[in-house]
Amino acid sequence: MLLLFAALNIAVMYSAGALAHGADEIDNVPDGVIMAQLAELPDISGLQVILLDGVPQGIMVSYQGSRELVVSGLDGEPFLRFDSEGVLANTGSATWRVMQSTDNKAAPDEGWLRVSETRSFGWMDPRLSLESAPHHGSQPQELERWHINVRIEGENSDRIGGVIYWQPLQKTSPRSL
Amino acid sequence: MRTKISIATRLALGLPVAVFSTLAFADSPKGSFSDPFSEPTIVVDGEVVETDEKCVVNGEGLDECKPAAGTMALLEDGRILYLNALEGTENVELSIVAEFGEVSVNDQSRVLSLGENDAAEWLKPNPLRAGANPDGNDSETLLNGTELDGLIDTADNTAKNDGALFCSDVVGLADGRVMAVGGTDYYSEPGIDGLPLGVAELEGIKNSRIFDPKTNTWTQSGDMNYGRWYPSMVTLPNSKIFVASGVTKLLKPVYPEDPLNSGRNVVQTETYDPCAGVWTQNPSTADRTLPLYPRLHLLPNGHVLYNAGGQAFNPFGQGYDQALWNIVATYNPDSQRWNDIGYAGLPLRLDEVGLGQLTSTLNVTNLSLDQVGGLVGDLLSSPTELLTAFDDFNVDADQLKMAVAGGMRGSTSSTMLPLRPDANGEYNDVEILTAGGVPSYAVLTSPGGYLPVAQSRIDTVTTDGDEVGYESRLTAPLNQPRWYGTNVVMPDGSVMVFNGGNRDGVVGPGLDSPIQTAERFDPQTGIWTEMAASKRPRTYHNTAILMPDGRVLIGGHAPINTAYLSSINLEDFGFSPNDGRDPSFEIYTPPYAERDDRPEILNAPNSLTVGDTFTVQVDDPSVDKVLLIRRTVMTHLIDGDQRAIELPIAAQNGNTLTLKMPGRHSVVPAGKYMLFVSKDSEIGRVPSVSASITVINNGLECMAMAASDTTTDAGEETATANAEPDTTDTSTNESSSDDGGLVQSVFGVFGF
Repeated sequence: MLLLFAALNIAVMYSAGALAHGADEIDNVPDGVIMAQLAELPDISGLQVILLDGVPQGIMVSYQGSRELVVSGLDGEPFLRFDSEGVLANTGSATWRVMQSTDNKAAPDEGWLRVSETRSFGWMDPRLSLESAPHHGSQPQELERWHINVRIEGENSDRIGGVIYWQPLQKTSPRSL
Repeated sequence: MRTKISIATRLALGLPVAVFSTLAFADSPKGSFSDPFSEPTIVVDGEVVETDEKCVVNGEGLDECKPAAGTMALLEDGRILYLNALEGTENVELSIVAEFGEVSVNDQSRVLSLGENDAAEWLKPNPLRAGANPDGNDSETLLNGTELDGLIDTADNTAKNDGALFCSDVVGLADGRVMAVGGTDYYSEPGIDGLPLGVAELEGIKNSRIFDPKTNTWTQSGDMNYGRWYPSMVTLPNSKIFVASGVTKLLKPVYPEDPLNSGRNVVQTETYDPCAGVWTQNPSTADRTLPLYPRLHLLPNGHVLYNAGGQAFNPFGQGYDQALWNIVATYNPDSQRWNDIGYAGLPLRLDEVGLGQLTSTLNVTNLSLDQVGGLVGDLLSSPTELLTAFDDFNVDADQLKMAVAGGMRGSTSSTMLPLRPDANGEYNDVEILTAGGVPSYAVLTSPGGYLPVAQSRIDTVTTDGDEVGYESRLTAPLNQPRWYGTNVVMPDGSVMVFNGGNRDGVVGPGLDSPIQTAERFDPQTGIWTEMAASKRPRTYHNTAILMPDGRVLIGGHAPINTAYLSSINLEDFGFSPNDGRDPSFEIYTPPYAERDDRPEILNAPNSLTVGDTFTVQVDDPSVDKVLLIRRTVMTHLIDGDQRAIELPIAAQNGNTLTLKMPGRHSVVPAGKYMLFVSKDSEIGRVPSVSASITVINNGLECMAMAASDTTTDAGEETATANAEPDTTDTSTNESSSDDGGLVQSVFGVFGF
């Protein structure tokens, strides 16, 4: 639903801006964007996390540890499993359904689907952004904190986390004549 | 005489690497560009008019213009197929936003022949505009199929612009035909017939069209399942064609029946069977969000690499999931699954050149090698690590990220450096050069900015079966930032970049200044050197291809109308000449091609397959390298099949070289190639004129086997190729050769 909201937002923006690229949009630079920052990383050997640039942002997790790592989804359900063969996604997970572009005909209804044969996986996670972008001032401002729970097989849950903040944008207009 | 001074010395002297490299190569020859030449005639109101002008006004008061080479393909016989871009936009009166959907016209095609002394001739294929959707396209308008269909759009008002070749991708099929996939259906939505007041829409079409050089005709092949504008194709080891990305509606990507695919590019991928002429949609595991015209390459293990590059219509991108475009990934055609590899540009190996690039970009003037010695050779896997490593030097985080310029790179070439065999004669590793373009700048305005960079990076991709490794290193930068430069791998192993601009010409059309000075990258030194300057400015939609004789044909230049209005020429203000397309070509002659001592290939086989051992005769025993280069079929900076393969010399007996073909089609996909030999000299490597080679896929059911001879310049017959069973190929649909020996093959009468 969130993605649908985002899609419609973009569609409206494109229509209103007349053209998806070019001079028109340069004149319609928003005042700022909501950004996430990575601030908490659990002490798990072989775990690397990078937030992916974009509006909204994505997240990529790489895990080279010896034991299985589980990433929790939006409702706390098991969402991703990093094993020695790569990465599996829980197709019954609410988070997985949010990510899907189609009705996923070829995937099983529910169950674990291998989504990568490497031990890295990137995805768009709604937890990194806010549904609405409140208007803020000309200075960066912290708005909320975000976190995604991860758990090493047989151990207590830990979390990746950080802050969500308002980042004012400067106009990037082409030089005028 | 080339002066080589180590990077370490340069750093110790506090000299930026790029500046020093320019000084060091100041006395090197730079090559030269020919005078521009273009088609001499235009058809106006049914009459052929000979003119030096680009356009002539017809009876309706509209401009009729010569086509510009926004797409080029080098055919087996040396002729060049080229396709126009943005045809009709010269007739915009006020704003291309309002009028694009009405004034645009299906693009024309041409075949250019260069004869003795480069005497040029032009031929018009049939049908001239490739013939898609003659009855109009079933456009994806919001009210399509309802009683209100056509009420607020102009999709059905004319069929003259429902099947444009512009914005298709092109690929060279195994038999030498050229296939254009996708393209543009123009209309206004909203819009009303007869009123230039609407908002343009550019819809990607589903069509595949094949140009046959033997008959100079276009024919329709199977439709894709998705309309695609700006897709990318790559030939798989089994000669099937993989297509990814593109967008169905560029400006208003809203699909009421498919809301989750609204607001982004086509994530579904498809595979084309060249024997059946049919596209098949791959399962959802093969879906992936990618930028437009994603930079794709076939790896030696048969996977398709997405090198985190493409077109994004910067600075605000083209999809709500564009953050994922920063991830380098591979597609495994066997499992039909994508695998995430990592964030583009990381891990970063800081060798001396890379360190020099970082320090000069960051302007850390008091940094000595001793201070940063611990970093040299280190591998840094994330921006966080990089920041930590540089913490002592009080480097600003954004500055550092700019210097690294990782992530998605827009509007530049992604060039596979020549593939080289390892000590066992195996091809497992790939190096890919990305220089210039607009980076993501790591944080805001992702996935790209308005200003291009000079930064240059080589990504090394190692393969071991299905395992893929990845790391990056910085090279010395371009001598100036460059947007939309077209790269060409030269037969001496270097890479040249031609044309482009100093600003993103999509963000601010006409407000960019052209870059006409070509640059040459030497993979041995990691240094870019300025070469000769072209005669004409060519910014958006410029093209360049390596010619069979080792020179380079450059063409194109089809900018978007100035500031999205009409074609106003601001050249007098120092900007790009945005007065419409440039139909001209120029030929760049590199220094080696000006020499009179180039080695010559006396004979060579005209067809080969994987695993072959074969011989070529040359006129010079000092020849010591052989490069097999695939003929370029490119548009919008991309050629998914671009590759050059260094063939090991198994034996050399005077002027006779015994050579070995790679054992897998994942290294050398079937198709049309040029074989160059070269020798070393005091000014660098000197290559020959090429011999034409067809690489045969014996496993392709529609590719017939037949005995043939080899043709030499002197017309001698010198059968030379010996087949070896292909036991290592990862491709499917392959069958081993049973001809027991000779593999001189030609395509049968069946074609495909």
